[in-house]
Amino acid sequence: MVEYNELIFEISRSGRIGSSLPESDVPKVNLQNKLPDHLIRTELAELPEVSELQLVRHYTALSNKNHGIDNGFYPLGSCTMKYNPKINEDVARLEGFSRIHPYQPVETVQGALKLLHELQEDLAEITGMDAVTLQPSAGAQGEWAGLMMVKAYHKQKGEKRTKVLVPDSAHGTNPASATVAGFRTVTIPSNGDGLVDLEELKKHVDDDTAALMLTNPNTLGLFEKEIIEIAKVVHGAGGLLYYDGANANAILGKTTPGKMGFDIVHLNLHKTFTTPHGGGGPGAGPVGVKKKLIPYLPVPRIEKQNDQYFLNDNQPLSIGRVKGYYGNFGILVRAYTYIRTMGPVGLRQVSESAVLHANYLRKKLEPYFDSPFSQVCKHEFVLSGSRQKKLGVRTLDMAKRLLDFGCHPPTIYFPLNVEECLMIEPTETESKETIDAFAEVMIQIAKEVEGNPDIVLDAPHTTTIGRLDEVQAARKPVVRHSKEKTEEGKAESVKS
Amino acid sequence: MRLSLTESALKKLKTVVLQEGQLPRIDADVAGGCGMTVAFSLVFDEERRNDFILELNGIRIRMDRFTQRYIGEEIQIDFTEEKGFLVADAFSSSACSIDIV
Repeated sequence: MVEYNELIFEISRSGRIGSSLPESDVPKVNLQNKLPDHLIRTELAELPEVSELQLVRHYTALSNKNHGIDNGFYPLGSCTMKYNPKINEDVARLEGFSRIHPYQPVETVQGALKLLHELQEDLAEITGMDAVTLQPSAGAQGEWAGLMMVKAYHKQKGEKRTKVLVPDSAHGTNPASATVAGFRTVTIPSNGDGLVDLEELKKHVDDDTAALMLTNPNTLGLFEKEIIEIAKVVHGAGGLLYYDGANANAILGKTTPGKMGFDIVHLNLHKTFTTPHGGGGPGAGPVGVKKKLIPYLPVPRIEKQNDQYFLNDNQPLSIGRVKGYYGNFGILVRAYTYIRTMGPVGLRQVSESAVLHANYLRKKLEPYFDSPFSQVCKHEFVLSGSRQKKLGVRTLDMAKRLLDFGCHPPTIYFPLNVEECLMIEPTETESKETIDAFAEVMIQIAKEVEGNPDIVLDAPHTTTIGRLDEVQAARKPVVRHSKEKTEEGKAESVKS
Repeated sequence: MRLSLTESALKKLKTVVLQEGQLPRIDADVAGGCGMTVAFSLVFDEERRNDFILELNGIRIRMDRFTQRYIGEEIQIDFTEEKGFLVADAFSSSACSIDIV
């Protein structure tokens, strides 16, 4: 049986076509008269030549090898791999949203602008901020935009602050974003309870501190109980408080970053607000700010006057435009749909269920794994594979074994302050049966580590491809396809 | 797998006082998040179930199966007063998903 395991280039045959075009009914144009020489190909592009059926089978087979939330359980901590309701897709495909053009005059896209304006207001209410920009096209870009606003704010005050403080339990992107924005990152260690060590924080906060970036609850799934005091310390030194919304799923409708004292918030719509995890595709990382930072928001801002929506570029202190047009509009429509579908009561129930699910699963697994912070958690929790490490099996081995049961592994080896870490976030959208089944699999693996470790060490066994040679992949990566072909016309596999 | 010790590493290892049941170990330390980094260190600890022993210049060194899977063919152990023991293999490379240092 043909399994379509080859590359699309390997099933290519010279002259094979997927669809036929009718004879051209317009005059031919000589490209050499229209384009400079360096823009004209001298040889054909190496495109695969396949039939439509081969194409469909190839990509269907490829998609079946992937794992997504529509395939199975996906407890990737801090990534909030919750179900994306299909109604989001239905609404995003409505012609009034999907077939408008960003260059249309604003008077012809009032409905789209109304949606964006309402989404800004919804997110401002949810986060306790005074204004929101929807422009950033990903969480990390939202972080960067937020930090550029931090920089602009201090500059306007005549200060040049160079330091951004990031706790070791913060969302992993924070140090990178601070560095890209031109700041120096200082790591603040956690205390024995897994929370920000307030005394350590005080040692590092000074008049060079531009901001503290905090994830609350943090990546250990623990709520920073001293947040009001933390805010006081940072604000007292003239710094700003930045909230990373990676874990906003835990606080929806219960509290807001605004109430905690934060000045800036970014949200990952693909986490909390059920837009697709793009894998590099279109995303959105809206940023909310308190009043004092509104002048620095990216332009154009979407505003409303006399029941008309318009784009306002008149913000002299703005950090400028950070994304073309209105941001990733289709993604924003999906998030808006989710918020309106759930309503305030539904959103509150999201965080309550997410927290309940995490604690239920935590209690089931704690007898079998080390639990460095055994206390009531928020939407996620961490376990340690230290016990298993002593038996010669690592967390990575157990993560591979989970694949045999159709589960995506949790986030592993992060945060860095937990040895052999497993960060587990079941989310609110999973049923009790699924969570129970996952717990049973984890318990089985823990027992295998004790009684039959080889089955874990050699996992996975049931996937299309077994344990990869990751060392070889890292040291001698094969990332380019050779254009050489064999005698049968079949493309050679990659050699370089 | 070829293991070598620098002169300073050998000298230091000969003077280390080990507690009962302990031996030096080359250990893979994994750091994760969106990608994964595997670095190697020399620690002194107890036996793990699937350890094997490397022996060089009279020094016995443990390694577990996981570490063996990720470490390169040529390993050198060095020692400096500032940084302590350093374990490196002959190769170093980087890729987006796994970074072995």
